[in-house]
Amino acid sequence: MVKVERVEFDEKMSPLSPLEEKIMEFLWKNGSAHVSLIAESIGAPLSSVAATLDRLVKNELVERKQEKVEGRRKFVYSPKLSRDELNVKFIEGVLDKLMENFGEVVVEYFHKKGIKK
Amino acid sequence: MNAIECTITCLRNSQMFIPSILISVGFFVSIFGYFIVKDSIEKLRFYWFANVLALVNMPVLFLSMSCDMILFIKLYLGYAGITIAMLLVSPFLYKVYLKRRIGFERDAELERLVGVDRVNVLNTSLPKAFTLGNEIFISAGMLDLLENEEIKAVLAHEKFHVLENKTPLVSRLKYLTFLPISQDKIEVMADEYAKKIAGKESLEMARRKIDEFYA
Ligand SMILES: [Zn+2]
Repeated sequence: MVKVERVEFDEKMSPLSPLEEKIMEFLWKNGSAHVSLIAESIGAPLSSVAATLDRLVKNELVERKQEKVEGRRKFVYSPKLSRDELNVKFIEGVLDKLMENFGEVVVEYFHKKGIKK
Repeated sequence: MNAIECTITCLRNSQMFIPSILISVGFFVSIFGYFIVKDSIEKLRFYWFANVLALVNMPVLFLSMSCDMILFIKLYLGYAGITIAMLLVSPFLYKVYLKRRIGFERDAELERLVGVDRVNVLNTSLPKAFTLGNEIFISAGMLDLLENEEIKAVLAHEKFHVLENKTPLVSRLKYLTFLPISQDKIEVMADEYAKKIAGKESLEMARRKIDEFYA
């Protein structure tokens, strides 16, 4: 989840957990949706989708908006970042962390890469 | 002579014997009333009386002591002091924690709907509702899940807890008099109150939807 306390270097590096990934995927495709529609569409339990949405809202990946439908409150969720923006945020986070811990090595690495190009 | 025998002997020999008996009778009448009345609010009132009388009885008993009960009294006062301090501070601390961790906003519309001074909407998609002191907290997830009448039922249930907390000191006295009603009992009373305000069906429907959500 975007904050990079601990990056796992397996084959698929992702800022999102599998369920977060599914939810974001759905929202990127459909724009905005109600929690029950999201849960139904991705086939996950309502309570875990709601808990995950809370986390996504807190981390500012998703926005929760209140709507009035026939005098009754409904909440719809929409992505706050595009996939590209999320990737940039993630990579920047990783690089910041690397710079913080291994500054000189990283600078030297990019310097070499830069010269090769 | 053990402490209990001492207490009884002291009481019998003191001028406080009669007042203490009167208070005790009042106490038992209140407990009796608590068990026989049906209405939740009246139940709460009897419970409150019982607590007040039990608390009044303490200094009366204390004044009637001629033998050495000082240790017990000191222990009790220490306990009472710490308990009251914790009960006063903990809702406040929990509110600060909620604000930071989850976040909430005051909602005038819901305040009007249920007739409570303060109703806050929690920023979470999970359906939740609870009461802290005189304030009701209900989550966005709850408002999203339920129809208006069901929301009213949930708020009415919580309003009962507000009334319970507002009944002077009832929520605190029970810790000092060692006379607690079980939480289950309070929940049943709160449900009865909610049914009276919003109807049995609304409350039951709300309950069913919440159970389904977490299933
Ligand atoms: Zn309750």
